[in-house]
Amino acid sequence: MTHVHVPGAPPTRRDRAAAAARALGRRKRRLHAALARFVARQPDRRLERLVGPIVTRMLPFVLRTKFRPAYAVDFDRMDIDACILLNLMRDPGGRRDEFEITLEGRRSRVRRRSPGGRRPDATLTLRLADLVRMLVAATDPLRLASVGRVAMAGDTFLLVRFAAMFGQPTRSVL
Amino acid sequence: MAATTRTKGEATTASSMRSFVEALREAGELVTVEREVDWNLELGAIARRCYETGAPAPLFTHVRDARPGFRALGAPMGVSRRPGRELARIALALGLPASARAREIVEALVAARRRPPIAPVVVDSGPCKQNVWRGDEVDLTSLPVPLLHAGDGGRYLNTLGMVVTRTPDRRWTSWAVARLQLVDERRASYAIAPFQHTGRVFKEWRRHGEDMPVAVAMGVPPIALYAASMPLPERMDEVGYAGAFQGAPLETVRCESLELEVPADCELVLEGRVSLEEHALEGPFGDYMGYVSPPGAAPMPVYTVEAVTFRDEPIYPFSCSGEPADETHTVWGVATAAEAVHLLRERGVPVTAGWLPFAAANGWLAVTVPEGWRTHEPDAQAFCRIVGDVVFGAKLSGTINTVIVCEDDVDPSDVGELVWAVDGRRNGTVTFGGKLGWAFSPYTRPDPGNFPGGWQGTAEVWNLLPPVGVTRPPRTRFEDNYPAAVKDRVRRHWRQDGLAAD
Repeated sequence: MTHVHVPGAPPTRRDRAAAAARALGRRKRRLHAALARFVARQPDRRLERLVGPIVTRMLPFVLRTKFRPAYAVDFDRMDIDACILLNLMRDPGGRRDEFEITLEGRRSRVRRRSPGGRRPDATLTLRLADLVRMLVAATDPLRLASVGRVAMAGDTFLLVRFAAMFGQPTRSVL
Repeated sequence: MAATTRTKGEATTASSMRSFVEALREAGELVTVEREVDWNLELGAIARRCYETGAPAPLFTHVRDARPGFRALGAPMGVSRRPGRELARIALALGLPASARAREIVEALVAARRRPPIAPVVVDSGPCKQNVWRGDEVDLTSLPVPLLHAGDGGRYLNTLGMVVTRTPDRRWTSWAVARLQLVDERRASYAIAPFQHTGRVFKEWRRHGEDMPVAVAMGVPPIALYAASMPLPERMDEVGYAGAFQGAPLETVRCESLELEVPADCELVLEGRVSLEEHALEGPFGDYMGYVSPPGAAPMPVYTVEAVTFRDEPIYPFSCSGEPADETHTVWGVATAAEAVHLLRERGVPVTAGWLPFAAANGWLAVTVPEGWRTHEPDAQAFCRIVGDVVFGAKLSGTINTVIVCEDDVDPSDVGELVWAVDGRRNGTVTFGGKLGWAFSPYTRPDPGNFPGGWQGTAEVWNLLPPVGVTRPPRTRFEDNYPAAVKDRVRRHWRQDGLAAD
């Protein structure tokens, strides 16, 4: 039902409730943006040293809990059956963490890549620091791609769905 | 659609780019620009100003850095500044008299849609085979490829050429108009959207495990460009529609390096493959809604060109899209209006005319209905719901956010009259949610990574029809209101009263 505003009329209880909800939303967005700004300002090395080990250890769990089965469908709404390889780089020439994300029947499995794993349909390669920035929406995949900080190979349509499937913000809050 | 072999026939303005160009010149709708023009923004700026002022289409004979002999044609289907002949270039593109009005143009396209498709004929050779580059000879930077807008991600190789793809099982050949951004001498990034027909063909090639063969035909017969822009149902070959339009098979010729055919009478053909693996950045781009968007570039599949064929002194057509009206409105928009009229009539909805007013940048579809429309559905609101179901349930609705339904005393191509009717007659709105399509406004922040949520929006049908028991009062317009004798006298004395334009 449409709410009709009468010009000059005093605010109703409904108007006041809506204003309170908007204020709460603004506070949450400000807090989120403050965290994102803090993370965005950190150099790659410091970010990787501070939270890198925790992120790589927790990543499979985080991605599994954030997974949204309803989004694991392709553009014809058919279940996605695919494997995405996520390469997380640290310093150039330094450590590399490889994760294999398997999607099948609206289920996901995330684990460290082992030799002889499934041939990936798409590969995402980026710095661990940029992944952390993406997780807090300090940046977004398209922004990283447009400045050459993420390398993509394979199924374009699968890659553009990655963030939405794993409940990640698809654009920065900054 | 199976093709047979035949010899070449006679060219018309709809079936040949060169005939169309000559017709434009004869009608005063084309000028030749012989001075050197820079591909770096100058070509785009001239074309843009032509659209905005209604100036003739410019044919450039000397583009900086382009190989001698290559010509570029801007704004070929722009709107003319000549009163009463605003749609002359669109009409000529379809083989109609330059004086044709919106309704005649749409009806010509609708009539062809009702006829059975006519399969193409493959001829042995065509003008586009006069010159061939293969492998390392290919140099896309030697074509007059423009940087169209300040803020574009790069030079756009294709804006008005026709992209030909075919499914691996060879059962569906799709024609489309898609943008390609130059990467280097042999490569371009190809903007593919998954819900477009080319995206669906690409998906089948991915499943097949091979790079997708793609031919880009430029300077094609104008009817081929309209067919490629028409939102036909999936798996319907556009080439058959083009044949139905001209009443004879379209002549095609086989590519040098691909199992694809292109119109024999075209200016230039790129032959290559779209990679399943490799990506390059594409965008931003000044697009038909009038903004340079999105804010950044996006990775898109890479198209690598293996061969180029072209006729002597080829004409390379381009469109500098932006605020209306350019070819995205006069070709795509007009073809979309025709498909809407066809689908509505096919479902039994009485429709007099349909048009996408250029000013709304393909966002509005105006549909007029005859006096007896209530025989289909007596209730105006229910009638509008039926119209919305047909339009928003079809492929054509990608850009349309508003359908306006009104009686046919209003000319849907007259924006002033339409806005007057919208304000004075709006009697209700039917809202449709969850419609997939392009973002309507730069402020809605579409979220392309989030499908389908980020691609969904609401759309509306505006009901301008009278409620039951209400009739329209007499209009005050000169043409409608005054007795014939009075109108005759006024017209007779118009010049002598000093009221006629010079």
